[in-house]
Amino acid sequence: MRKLLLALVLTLSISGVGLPASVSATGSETISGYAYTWTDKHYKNPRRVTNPALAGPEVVFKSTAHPVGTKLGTNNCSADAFMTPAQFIYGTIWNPIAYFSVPTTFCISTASNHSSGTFSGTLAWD
Amino acid sequence: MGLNQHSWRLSSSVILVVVFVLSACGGGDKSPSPTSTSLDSETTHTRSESSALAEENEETISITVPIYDPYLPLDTLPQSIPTPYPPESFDPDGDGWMTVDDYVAAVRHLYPNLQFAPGYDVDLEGFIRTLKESATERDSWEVYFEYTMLGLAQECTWWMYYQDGRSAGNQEAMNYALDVQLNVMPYHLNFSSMKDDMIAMTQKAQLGDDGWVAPFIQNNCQGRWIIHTEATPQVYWRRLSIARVA
Repeated sequence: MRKLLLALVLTLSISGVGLPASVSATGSETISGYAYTWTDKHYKNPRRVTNPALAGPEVVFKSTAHPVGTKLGTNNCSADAFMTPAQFIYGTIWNPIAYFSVPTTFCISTASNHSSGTFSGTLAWD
Repeated sequence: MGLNQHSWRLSSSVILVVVFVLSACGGGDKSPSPTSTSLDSETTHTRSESSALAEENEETISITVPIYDPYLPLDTLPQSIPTPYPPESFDPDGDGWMTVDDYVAAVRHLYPNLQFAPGYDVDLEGFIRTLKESATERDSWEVYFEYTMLGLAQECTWWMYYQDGRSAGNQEAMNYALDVQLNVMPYHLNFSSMKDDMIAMTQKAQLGDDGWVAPFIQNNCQGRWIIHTEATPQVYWRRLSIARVA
């Protein structure tokens, strides 16, 4: 019985508390900011996906509170291509933000369907 | 970066693995930490010393293999290198965000202070023209985004220069590109958020692991308005001497 319980706890722990399996070698940081009415806001800190081997999203975000109509997306840090893709943030679960097939440098952009919207949570990447 | 939560979870996982294995088997080997990085494995090795001492003791000795650097050992770099170009804010209202015009002004200000690799430059006017055509008045860029954008373009040109040297079998050019990327660029722009990553990538290349450079360029350096120019003599890195003041 004890072994069974340990195995159960072990399985739950390794499953990453909901973190998608494709984000296995993760960098992560708490980020927050605000968005604005369907116009792009470009945040300056670049990040680099280094291990996109597994199928699934390489960049994910989990909000600390239910965001109001906020989109989060990536750009290539040139910021003349603007936000691609743009994903709505839902609930307080891990939301897929971007998929990359090769190591990629990315920056974060946001937009909101309200006059302004705030977001905060954890950004994780593979 | 705030890795605490993730590291805690990984650490917890490792502990649970050990507890589980010990519980089931009464002992066993520890698995490698999942948080180990490729850099760790490249910089720290365990090997048996081939000397008579090792034969006598038959011990495994842990040593740190120094990173190959043809110009300057890493440990002789000064702890704090002056930033040649202190960031200048182009944020008139002080809200932390730039309008497209502010951003263009910031890009124009920073551009002449950068040093792209020999034979490469950035089509600044082409970038600005496209930006102005695409952006709306309410789009905004966080203050110092110009460092991100131009810093990455600059990094791209040095990886392109490295790759050119690799293709031509020019080891001197390769070493030069790595030297700049390792000893100057991370400090030149105070580009802290990518500094560790840049150093790790360069060290990988120094150790011969550079097969990733070509796909990296293909995927990350397109659309950065990088253009070929006529390479000028080796007067490059204007501030190299700053970084080498030990």
